Order: sequence, then structure tokens, then C-alpha cells
Amino acid sequence: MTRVVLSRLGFYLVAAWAALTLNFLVPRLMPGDATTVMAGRMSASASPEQIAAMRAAFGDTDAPLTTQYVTYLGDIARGDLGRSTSQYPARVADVIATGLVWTLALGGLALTFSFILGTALGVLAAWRRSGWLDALLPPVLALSGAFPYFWLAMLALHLFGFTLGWAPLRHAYCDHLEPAWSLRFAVDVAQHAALPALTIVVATIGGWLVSMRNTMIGVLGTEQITLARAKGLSSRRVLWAYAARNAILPNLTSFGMALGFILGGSLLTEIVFSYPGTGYLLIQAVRTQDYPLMQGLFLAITLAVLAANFLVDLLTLALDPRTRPHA
Amino acid sequence: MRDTKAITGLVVLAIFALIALVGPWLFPDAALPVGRPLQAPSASHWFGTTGQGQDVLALTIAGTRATLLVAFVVGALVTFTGALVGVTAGYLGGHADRALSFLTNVFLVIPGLPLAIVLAAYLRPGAASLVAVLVLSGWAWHARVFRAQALTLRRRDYVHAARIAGEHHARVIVAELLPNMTSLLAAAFIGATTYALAAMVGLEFLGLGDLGAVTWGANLYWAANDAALLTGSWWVFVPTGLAIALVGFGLILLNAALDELTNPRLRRRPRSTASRAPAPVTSFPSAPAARAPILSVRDLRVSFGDVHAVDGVSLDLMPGEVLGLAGESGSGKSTLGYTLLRLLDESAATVSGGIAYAGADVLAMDARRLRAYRWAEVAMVFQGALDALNPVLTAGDQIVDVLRARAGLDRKAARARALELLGRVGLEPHHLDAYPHQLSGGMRQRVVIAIALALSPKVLVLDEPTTALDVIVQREILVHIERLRRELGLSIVFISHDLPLLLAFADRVGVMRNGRLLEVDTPAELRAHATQPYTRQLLAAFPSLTPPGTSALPIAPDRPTLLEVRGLTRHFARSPAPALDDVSFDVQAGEVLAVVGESGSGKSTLARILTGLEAPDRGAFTVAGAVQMVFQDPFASLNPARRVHHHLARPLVLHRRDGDLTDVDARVHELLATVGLEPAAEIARRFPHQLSGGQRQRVALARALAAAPELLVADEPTSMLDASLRADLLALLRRLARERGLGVVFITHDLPSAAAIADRVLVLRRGRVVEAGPIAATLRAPTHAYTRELLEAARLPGAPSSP
Repeated sequence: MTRVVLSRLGFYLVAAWAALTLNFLVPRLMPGDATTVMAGRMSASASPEQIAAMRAAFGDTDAPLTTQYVTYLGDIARGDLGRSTSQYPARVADVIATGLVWTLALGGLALTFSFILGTALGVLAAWRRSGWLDALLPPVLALSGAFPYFWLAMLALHLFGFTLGWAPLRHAYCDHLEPAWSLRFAVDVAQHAALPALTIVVATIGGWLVSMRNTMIGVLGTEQITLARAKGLSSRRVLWAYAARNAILPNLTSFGMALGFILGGSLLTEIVFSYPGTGYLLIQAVRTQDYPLMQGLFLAITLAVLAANFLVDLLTLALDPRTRPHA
Repeated sequence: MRDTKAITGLVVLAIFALIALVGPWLFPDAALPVGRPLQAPSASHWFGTTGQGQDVLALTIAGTRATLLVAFVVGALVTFTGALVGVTAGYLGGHADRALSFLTNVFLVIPGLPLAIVLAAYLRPGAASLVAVLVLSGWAWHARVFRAQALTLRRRDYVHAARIAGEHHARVIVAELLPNMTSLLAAAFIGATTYALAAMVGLEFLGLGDLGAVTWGANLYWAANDAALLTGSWWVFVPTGLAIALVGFGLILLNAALDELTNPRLRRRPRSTASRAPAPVTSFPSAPAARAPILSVRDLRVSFGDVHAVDGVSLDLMPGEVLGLAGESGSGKSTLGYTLLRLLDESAATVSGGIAYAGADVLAMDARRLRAYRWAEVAMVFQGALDALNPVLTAGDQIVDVLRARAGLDRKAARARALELLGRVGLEPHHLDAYPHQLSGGMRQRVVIAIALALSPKVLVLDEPTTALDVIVQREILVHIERLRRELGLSIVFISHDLPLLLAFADRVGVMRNGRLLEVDTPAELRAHATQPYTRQLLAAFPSLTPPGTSALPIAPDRPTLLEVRGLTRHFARSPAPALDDVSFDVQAGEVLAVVGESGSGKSTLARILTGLEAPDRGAFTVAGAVQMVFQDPFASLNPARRVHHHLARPLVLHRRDGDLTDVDARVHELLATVGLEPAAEIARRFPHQLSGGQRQRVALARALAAAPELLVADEPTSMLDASLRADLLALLRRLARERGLGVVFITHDLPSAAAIADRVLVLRRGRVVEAGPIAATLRAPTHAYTRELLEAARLPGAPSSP
């Protein structure tokens, strides 16, 4: 069993190394001196500090590549991702850290809630094939899922924020408040998170519902369900311990991947609602051509995805006895 | 229903395709300001104006072409790349697969949108970079899907058959695999296009596309940029969003229609309109109390739509007796068994008639009484134990949960009883905590029996309980069942296609055909005085063990030896146990050599080595010509996507000798006639699913003959056919061997079939040859203990030992 876990860990470490190396190589592979090219692309002329920050990120081109690589890896290990050019002299690591908190809170909670609710509804829709749940929801959700997510978010913002005035229009908390561990602040944060979270749930719940429903239908047709029914077990036990427990396994993998993608996936939500998470930071970094920050964010997002995938692999090992090596 | 979806989807997409075509021609200067900024929809501007005074309708229509073009191009490229990498990896396996899979997994794990954003930041904005970025972030997911499909398909027997016939890898992929992947390709293309549309619009909205171009994404970017939201100018972004949604919806409809095509279970089931026939007031004949039947069926009819699975069956099960129900596939015996516990899907089946148990009509029971009846009074042992057991629960859990739910026992008491039940079926206490996949086939079957006995039922319905098991294990299970019957006073309904087994084991046997019960009588009476011609036919279809004496081929010294096998040895991948261990034998022209063994004996490995699909670790064999194979599963050995003609023509063409100008079509018809399939021209045009199991095996045989082999390896060619068809196919095999001087290696676990057509026999056990010799002599006087064991198990008690 430990061998399986270690081999999965090994894969993820190799993938992480690949991401790190890609991050290192891309700016250095561009023709010409990366720093000069980037500086030239920036709309305003770069200040000396910004040039210094970029050189630090892209490496002094005089040193041999291998030395730069070793230095780069060492920096990463210490958590030093350089300094942001758009928010100079803030350290990239610090900027990312604040973004992480908001994204994980908003995206993570919304996604988890959407997964749980969608999966449960999918189970029920499959159980009652001729019910209204199964007749109505899949086509309605198919239609709502066809709208681009950010467009739905814009519509929601327009309707609930602008026209009806029920929700705040932007940001994670009111501008005049200072972040603090107080009830007042918590309530304010919740108010600001309500609409973005709601749009995420509405946009994603359909996918979980339909995929769980389809898998459940497959499992419900198997002989083990016939035997479970024949044994006279309660409908609840047949549904959850026999059918759902088997049907959920492939969906868990999808959930893990989605969770990993949260840091990048909540991007569109954060843009529309100007929510200061990692996605928002990434797009700001692109717009202001803050390459060190952009690189740092991409790295953080990739590593988070890898970690989430690894956790899902562990969860699958725990839930599905067939994946474990024979006793 | 499916057609409505497909048609709606296609209509929607066609409309947009039209708009894409004429859009830029209708509105060549959509990006030019033509009015005051942020005007609401009016007569002059139907969709209003943007923050820069452009006409929104013009922008939306003009932007269609660029958007859809990129979306479909990306969709096609992603599908192509994914299919190329995935199918190659899945089909080739080995190092190629490992390398390509690693590459795929790395790309999968790197998050798509951030990757796309970062790449777009480094590249020059424009359509080409957009396409590149989208393809790079999207191909990996499809590659994984195609790889999984290729892995499944490459194990199919028809792929093996193509390789054995001599096809090259590339040709196998294109001509055999891809035709079976058309729905996957279509679904992948639709899915990829949907992804491309969403991702492209998303990237452009973020400002990463070519902002000067007129596309839907760019329109939305400018809408956000011009603070359309904050000024309440909803008309700037709503039309574009609707357009995107409509195209997306069209694609989703097509995909759903395709899904339902490939997986019929997903279709919305219409409520059964057939009126449930009210259970007629059946008066069950009152029999004297001492010999009242425990279970009584009267005029039972079960139909699924137009198919009458059970057509007016009446029978009685007496207390303490074993009632056998014999029949071939489609006879209705399993349906009858399920109906005894009312396990059929009642919205799909129409049931009428009566089933009486202890005076109550099972078919009229309400939910509460039915639950009390099921399992506690009548229980069932299902056919495939691996499918019937829940893989995520231990064996013990699955016995305990019925005890806790129905008998009201607490956890400790339930566990104790479960242990007792396991002991009764011959399992060890530690099996309580084993998962189904950790147990062997025989052990799993015993677990299923233990579950059936949990609530001490009075009646047990056994549905082919031993069919999937080896003959020796079968016998053990049957011995257990007999013992349990005596100890617990069970009455048993034993459903099986194996008539000799029932004749040996049951007190009375009923013969079913096409839903009707033809006759019921004791085994002795049936054997001696069967009244129905079908019963006599069925009895004759099962060969006895005594081989026909006169047709054994004399071993003439001048018969050429076609196959010489010396010291073949092969080891399993991860086990010290050998699959084959120093196997040697010869096969002469015109003779049939039976290779007999159970699972794990190595006979399948032998077949794979002889046909060149695997190489031995040690030892060698020489064959005086080509080797071809007939596979076990008639449903898997023919390519479902190709006609019969293709299956025969390819080997003919590949093995055509120089100067042979005979017309391929004529040769195909000739082959079909040889195996008894007429009219040849009509059969050649059919697809495999239009043939019966027996017909498919004949086509498989014809395909093997098409390559003009000297040696034919037949791997369990009749084990998946109905009994009445077996005799004919085996006789055909033997005749072909004699007439054409072929050598036939007939691999089987069924001794009686071997006795029917073989000249010599080879007995394999765990990879070693334990006995070899002429069939008649070996069966009369076996020298090895294992051979005697096999004979014992096959020669069931009560079967005649002499003709």
C-alpha cells in the first residue's frame, strides 16, 4: 500500500519539477534578452527598480544556465519568488499569499457546496427516473450551462447588484473597513461573497448533477443492486451504501481536479466581481505586464492543482478497495 | 426523442453557420461608430449601441464567423491530436504508452486557463496564437479518453484475429479500431468545439485575444471595459451572451443525442402504457395437506413489450425437492426465476397469472408483505457472483447488513451469525473481512450462497450457480448445496442450461423453450420416455463421455507432422508460477488433438504462443505452414463495425499466392458455403450483429480457413454456444480436419466435447502435461490422478457410463 502511495507521490513530484522547469525556461527561451524585450513591451517606460526585479526573475544572462537554474530552485525552496514590478517593492510571495486566502475561501467553499448538492440531486434524479427532477433539471441545466459563466455572473451582478441593490458591487469587503477578526468584518465578508459564490454554484451544479446521474443510472442497472433489493434492504441503504457509493468514485476524481483548478478557475468570477483572489491578481499581472508576479502565480496554481490531485488519489485508495494491492 | 434532440441541435447550428457565412458581407464595417454611445434598443439600432457608438446587432452578426471558425478549427485540431496520441499510446502499449501517457498526464495536471493566460501573455495576439494556446491547453483530456477506449478495443479477439492474419499495426488501427470509435470521435469533436468556444470567449474577455478583431469575446471585453454594467446598459452584453449560449446549447443537444445513441439506458423511459393485467382470481387446487406444494405457479405470463419471455407456465415445487429448470438462452427460465421473487422491473414488464406461496399470491402482495416474503421465505443465488457482490463492502458486511436490516440483530450477533454461515458454505473465518475481488470465483459463489441462506429461507432459487466455475469447483459447490438441502430442509428451484447436470442432481426436471414449459418429469422418465421431440433433441446434444469408437483416426506413420512443440515454457509477468512448464507434443495432418485443462492450466497461453501473439521464454515449436485461430466468444471475435465480407476478404488478400487471380468475392462465397452458411452472397453483406451466435462462430471458422492454414487452434469454440448448436460445429471442425488434412488443436475444459471429436488428448495442469494419449484409451484407463478427478467431476452421478 505504501508502495502505491509513494509511486503516486513520485509522479506528482516529477510533474511539479516539470512545471518549475517550464516556468524557468519559458522567459529564457524567448529570442533576445528577456528583460529588455519585456521592458520594451511595457506601456510606460520601466523604472530602474522594475528592471532590477525583472532581471532577478529572469536571471542575469551572464551566468551559465545551470547556475541560474540551481539558484532558481534554491529561491523557490526558500519561498523567494522575487519582487512584483506592478506593486514594487512588495514580494511576490506575499502578494500571492493574500490572494490565496480569498480564492480558497470563496472558490473552495462554493465548489464544495456545489459538488455536494449537485451529487445528491443527481443521485435522487437517477433513483426517480420518471419524476419531475429527472424530467426538468437536465435540460434546464444544459441550457443554463451553455451560457458563458462570466456572462451569467455579469447578468447576476447587473440584476442583483445594480438594479435591485441587494448585493455589493465589488471586492471582498467594504473599502473603508480594516480586515480584523470581528463579527462585523465577518458579516461584511459574507455579504460580499454571497453573489460570487451563488454564481459559481449555479454555473457548476449542473455538471455534477448530470455526471452523477449518468453514473448512477449505470450502477443501478447492475446485478448487485438487484441482489440488494432482493435482500429486502431499505431503499435508503440500497441507494447510498450500494449504488451511490460505487457511482461516486469517478466523480470524486473530477471533483479533485476541479478543486485543484479552483485557483485558476475562479478567475472569471474574480474578474467580474473584482474579488482580490489569485485569478484577479493573475489577470492584473498580465495587464500590467508584471512578469515576476505572473510567473509566481502560475507556479502557485500549478502546485495547488498537483496537491489537490494527490489528495484525491489518496481518497480513492481509501474508498475503493480494488485500487489497493491485495492483502 | 433522440431524433428531436439531434434535429434541434443541427437546426440551431445550421442557422448560425448561415449567419457566419453572410455576416461579414452584410456588415462589413461593424466596428465603425454609427450612433450615440450607449443608446438603448430602438428602431434605428435594434440591439442598441455600445459605449463607443457601434451597432450591437452588427457586431454580433459580424463576429459570428471569426468566433465559430476558430472554435471549429480548434475543436478539430484538439480531437485529432488527442486521438492520435491516445490511440497510439493505448494500442502500442509498452514504452510508447508509458512515454505518451506521462506527457498526457503532465499536460492534464497543469491547469488549462492559467496556462492559456500565461502563454497568451508571451505570444503575439492574433488568431494563430489563440488557436495554438487553446489546442495546447485542451488536447490532453481527449488523449486520455481515446487511450482508454483503445486499451479496451485492442484486447478484443477480432484485433487479435487481424494480427494473426498478418495485418500491420497501422492497418489494424485504421481498418479495425477506428470504425468502432466513430461515436467517440464525434462526441470528442463536439465536446472539443464546446470547450474551444467557451475558452476562446473567456480568453478574449480577459483581454488576451486580438482586441481589434470583431469576435464575440472581444465584444464582451469591450462591454466590460466600457462599464456597460455600471451604467445599466444591459443590451451591450446580452445579445452576444445569448448567441454564445445558443451555439453551445446546439452542441450540447447533439452530444446528448449521441450519448443516448450509444447508451440506451440514458433515454427517458416512457411510463409503461401497458395496463397491468389484474391478477385473476386463481383457485389453486387444494391438495391433501401432506403433499401440498410449497410454491405454485399458475399460468404465468411475462412480457416485455412484444417479447413473451414467459408464456403460460404452470408448475409446482414440492417441499424438500430439487426442481430443475432446463433450457437454452431465450427459454425464459431466468425470467421465471426472477419473477418468483418479483425482481423484474415492473414498469417494463407485464406480468399476469399467479404465484402462490403458503396460500398467498406473490404477484398481488403489497410492498410490506413482499419485503417479508423476499429473502426470509424465498431467496435467490445469482449467476455471476462478481457482478452480484458490492465491490466496496467486505463479504462479511454484505451478510451482516441483511441480518441487521431484516432480523433485527445487533452488530455482534450479526457478525457471529455471519461467521456461522460462512462455515456452513465451507469458507474460513478470515474471509469475513475479505473484499470480493480478493476471493476466487468459487469462494465468491459461496459468499453469495451464504447471503442467500442468511434469513433461513424455505425455498432457494439457484440461477446457473456454477456455470462460470471450473468443473472440479462446480462439483464441490454442488456437494455443498446438496448437504445444505438435507441439513436445512430446503426446497430448491435449480435453473441451468446444463441438462445432464440437472438430470444428475434434481428430483424432477422441467424443460423450457421459448417461454413455455414443455414437460416436467423425473430424470429417469425423461431419459427413457421423453414425450417432446425438443427434449430428446436436447438430451442428444450433450455428448457422453464415451467416444465414438469407429472414427478415431488410425495413427499412420506416413502422416506428415504439422506441429512439433518442444519444451515450451512461459512465466507469468509477476508470479514465480509458470504459465507453461516444459510442454511438448506433436500434431499430425488430419488429426484433432484435444488440450484439456481448467482455468490456470496454461491452455490459453499455449494458444497465444502457437498463433504468435506471445513468445515463449524457453523452448520452441515448428509448424509446417500457417497457424490460424478460432476464438471462444462469438460476440467478440468479429469486428462489429465491418461486414462479414471484410472479415473473409482480408486474410484472402493477405495470403494470396502469386499468380492466383481468382476473384476474391467468389472465394468468399466458397468459404461461406464450406462452413454451411447459405445464401452466401446475402450473408457476406451482413454485419455481425445480424447473425446468431452459431452463425458467427462459423464465420470465424471461415475466416481462419481463408488464410489456408496448416494448423488450426480452436480455443473453446463452442463453450459460449447453446448445447444444440455445439454438436454441429464440432462435427464441422472434425470434418474439415479430415477432408483438408488440417491439424486441429482443440482447447477445452469440457471433456465430453473432447471425447466427441478428438483423436488424441493432452491434459494440462498448472502448465504441465500430466497425461497424453489416444482419447479412447485415456478415458477408459487414465494414469494420472488429476485426469481421474476431471473424469469424476464430468461423469455426474446417474449419468450412463456406457452407451
